[in-house]
Amino acid sequence: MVFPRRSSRSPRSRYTLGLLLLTAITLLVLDLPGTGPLQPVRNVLAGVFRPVRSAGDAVFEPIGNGWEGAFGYDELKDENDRLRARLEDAKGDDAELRRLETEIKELQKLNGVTATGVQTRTAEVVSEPVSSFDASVEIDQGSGGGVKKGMAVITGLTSGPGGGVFGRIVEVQGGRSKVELITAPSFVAGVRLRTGERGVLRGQGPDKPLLLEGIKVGVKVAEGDYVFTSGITDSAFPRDLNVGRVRSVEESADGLNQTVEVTPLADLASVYVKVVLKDPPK
Amino acid sequence: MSAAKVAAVILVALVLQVCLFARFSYDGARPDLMVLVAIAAGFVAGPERGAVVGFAAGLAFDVVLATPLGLSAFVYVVVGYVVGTLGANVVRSAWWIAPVLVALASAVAMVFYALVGEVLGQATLSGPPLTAIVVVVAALNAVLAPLAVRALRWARTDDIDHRRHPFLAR
Repeated sequence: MVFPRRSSRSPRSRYTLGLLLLTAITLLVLDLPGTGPLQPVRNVLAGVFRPVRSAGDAVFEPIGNGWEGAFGYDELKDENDRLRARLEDAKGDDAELRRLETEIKELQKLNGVTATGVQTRTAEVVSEPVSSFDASVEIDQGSGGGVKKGMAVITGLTSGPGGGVFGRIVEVQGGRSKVELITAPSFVAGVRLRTGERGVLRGQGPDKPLLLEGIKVGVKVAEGDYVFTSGITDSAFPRDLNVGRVRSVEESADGLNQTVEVTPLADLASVYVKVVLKDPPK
Repeated sequence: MSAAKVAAVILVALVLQVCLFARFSYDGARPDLMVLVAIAAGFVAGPERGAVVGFAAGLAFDVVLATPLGLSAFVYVVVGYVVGTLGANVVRSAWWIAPVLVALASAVAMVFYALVGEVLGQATLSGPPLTAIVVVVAALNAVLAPLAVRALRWARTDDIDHRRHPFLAR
């Protein structure tokens, strides 16, 4: 049976389509990164939805757990193996960190600089990405816990800057915050190498290495070198947070810079993370 | 079409998406129930209402995503409108028409979403493999298509009443 719809391409439906598309484009322009007039609207709408979501989580959690229990055994075993491997890695990391600590102390003595402690707030990852095209997770700390947009998030459970950079706060609500993962293509941070050379680090997508740009040809970069945040003035990230290790180095097409790929140090499947409570730049 | 019923359908779909279906991922690809709502609206109620419902469903989804507000709304408006336009010329007597149309529309919608996101600097093509996303979303939405079509038909029931009252008919 055919359902003819004479009005399907009527001027009225085209007018509606045009109006809706224009509205969507206006919203997109107003909400592009760097602008924030729609943030309060987002926060209010998210606040309205939160109780409904909490109720939904409570109802559907047993189903999700059942699914993970039924099909997740192999994943758990793999995860256990990976954790063991990481523990091995951590032995070397610890030695490297001790060496760096000594080096920094000596440099601080030379420059008369005193080290400042990094205050952190432990949080739990409560929600994974909700769409294939989403690269953010939610944590259970919000504005009430002193969390602000732009702050760095690192992995780990105990106080202090122990873990690697996990991501950045992109949205803050009362008791929850949204964290953009370090691998998100929109993630950008100022970093430095052990030699002091500074560059810009960008995410390239899930399961892909990070891209370090701005390292000139001639600067010695070796595979396995550690990369740290640079803590430049207009960055919300304090300096010396562990970011990752150099995975590969190549000369870029322009012949002026090196293309450096970095493997994140943080386990992006971590359940416990810490928000670094350093005020973002005004 | 009843705005309250459409809002209820969108809210239920959003809760199911965020609280249940987002937990299931294959190779990083996750189901997308909100695009199913837009497609079903176009299929059931034509292009104009498909676009309106698509806009509302997309906007609701945007609120819980970290992507710019309006990205899903933009994509789902087009999806609802196109499905409504194409659906007007489809023979619907066979039971499998809706699942097949929904699967095809879901697959095209995901590719369109990735392309629009990429143009807007969201690097959506750098995320999970697009083929995995297309397969997961198309397959699940095809299975859920009869339910979604039924829900949107329920939301459209006011139209039938309006037809009896010419002054209320649009």
